[in-house]
Amino acid sequence: MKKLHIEGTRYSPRIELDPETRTLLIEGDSYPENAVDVYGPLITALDEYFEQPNTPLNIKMLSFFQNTSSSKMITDMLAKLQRFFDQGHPVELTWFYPSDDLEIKDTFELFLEDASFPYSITQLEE
Amino acid sequence: MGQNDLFGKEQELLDRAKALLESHKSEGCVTIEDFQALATAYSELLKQSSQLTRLSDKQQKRMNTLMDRLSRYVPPPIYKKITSGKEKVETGTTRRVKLSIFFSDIKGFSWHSTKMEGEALTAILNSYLEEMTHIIFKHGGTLDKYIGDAIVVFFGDPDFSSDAEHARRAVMMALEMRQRMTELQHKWFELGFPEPLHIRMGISTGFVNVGNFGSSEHMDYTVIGAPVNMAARLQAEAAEDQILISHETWSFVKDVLDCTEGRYYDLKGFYNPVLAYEVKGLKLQSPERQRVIEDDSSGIYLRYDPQKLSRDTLLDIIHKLENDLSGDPSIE
Repeated sequence: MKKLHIEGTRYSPRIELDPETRTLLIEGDSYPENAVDVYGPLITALDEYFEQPNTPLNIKMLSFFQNTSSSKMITDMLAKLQRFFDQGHPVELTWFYPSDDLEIKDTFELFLEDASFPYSITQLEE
Repeated sequence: MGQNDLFGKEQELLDRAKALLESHKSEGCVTIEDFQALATAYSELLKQSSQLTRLSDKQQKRMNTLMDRLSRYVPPPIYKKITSGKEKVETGTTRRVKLSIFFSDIKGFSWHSTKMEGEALTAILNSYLEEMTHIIFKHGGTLDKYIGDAIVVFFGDPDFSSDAEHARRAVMMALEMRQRMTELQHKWFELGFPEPLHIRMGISTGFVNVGNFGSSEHMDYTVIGAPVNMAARLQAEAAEDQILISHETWSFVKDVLDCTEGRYYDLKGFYNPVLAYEVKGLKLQSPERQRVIEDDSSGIYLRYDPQKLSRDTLLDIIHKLENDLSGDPSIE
């Protein structure tokens, strides 16, 4: 598959799914008018990405604020990643939060409360 | 399954349930396996709905926290106006209105500040601004900005009452600030400021342009116009603990305040000399007009203004006191 690149805007994150480096980057706050336009292509691309068995994926998230529809799309994405992990794909996620902002850390923990794949919520170095 | 709709997955599940019902309509029942598959899928949906509701609540709480923090950088009346959607957040939206403008600074603060440690200076300045801001809000002023130790306030926008009321509130605020300054001298001396702090104040009333000024990326809700410059220049002209007011401000407050005779000042930026007045205090508070009858042993403290108190009113008060005391058995 080709590398997926969705350009970030003032209201939506930059998304890069790279099959060569086996990485997914989501960077930037997310409150677009239509969250499906932003996350829909990624969720669809994940099916193609995990077509081969045992495909690893290292996910890095640098997104601090999400509106409700973005939250819905992200929970859909996480549920899908969980299914792929359950099928044997080594999925790993790191979600960064701004230093000393425990409210955001709590929010990310809530996003990941049902995840059993390896993840960490890590303080971003200033 | 593609993700072309925010609720595509949910719609798909609902369609599946409908199709199942339709296909088993004639039989009047569905298989346990089909029912179990639907129940499992609905249980997943419920879990996600619950998660999203909690996420949404958290985001809303966070937004409120951020708005609360932000509100401390914006004058409360303007914050209220912006968040209620009444104020267009764009440049060029200004109005021409008559306002009363207030300027103040601390005499010699910059000079002293060069000789003090930054931490001590910060503590004193914050203490001063905290006290003064409390008084500004108490009198309904719109805090325009702090410029170091200087404070700019205006009255009449966004909440308008009357020109006289705005002028009166501006001067009453200035009087309370001056009074509070004398009460806080000891505190600031303890904090490290070597000499008493003295405030200088200027107030002017007149037509100004008020609204958003700046660029599309950064703007200030502020005022511009000759009365603004006049208030600033009067403040610069004022001696320590002096309140100088313009002639128009004076015309609105002269009945309730004692002011000196008007005097012409040559102010920078004004071609003609400007007529201004020094505010002494509330008419009742002017020491030369006050009469006080005080007797601690009898528990009497009476303060009055003989210019306002008529003989009839005085006799009426005495009569009421007589009636009151004659009905009290503890009075011999």
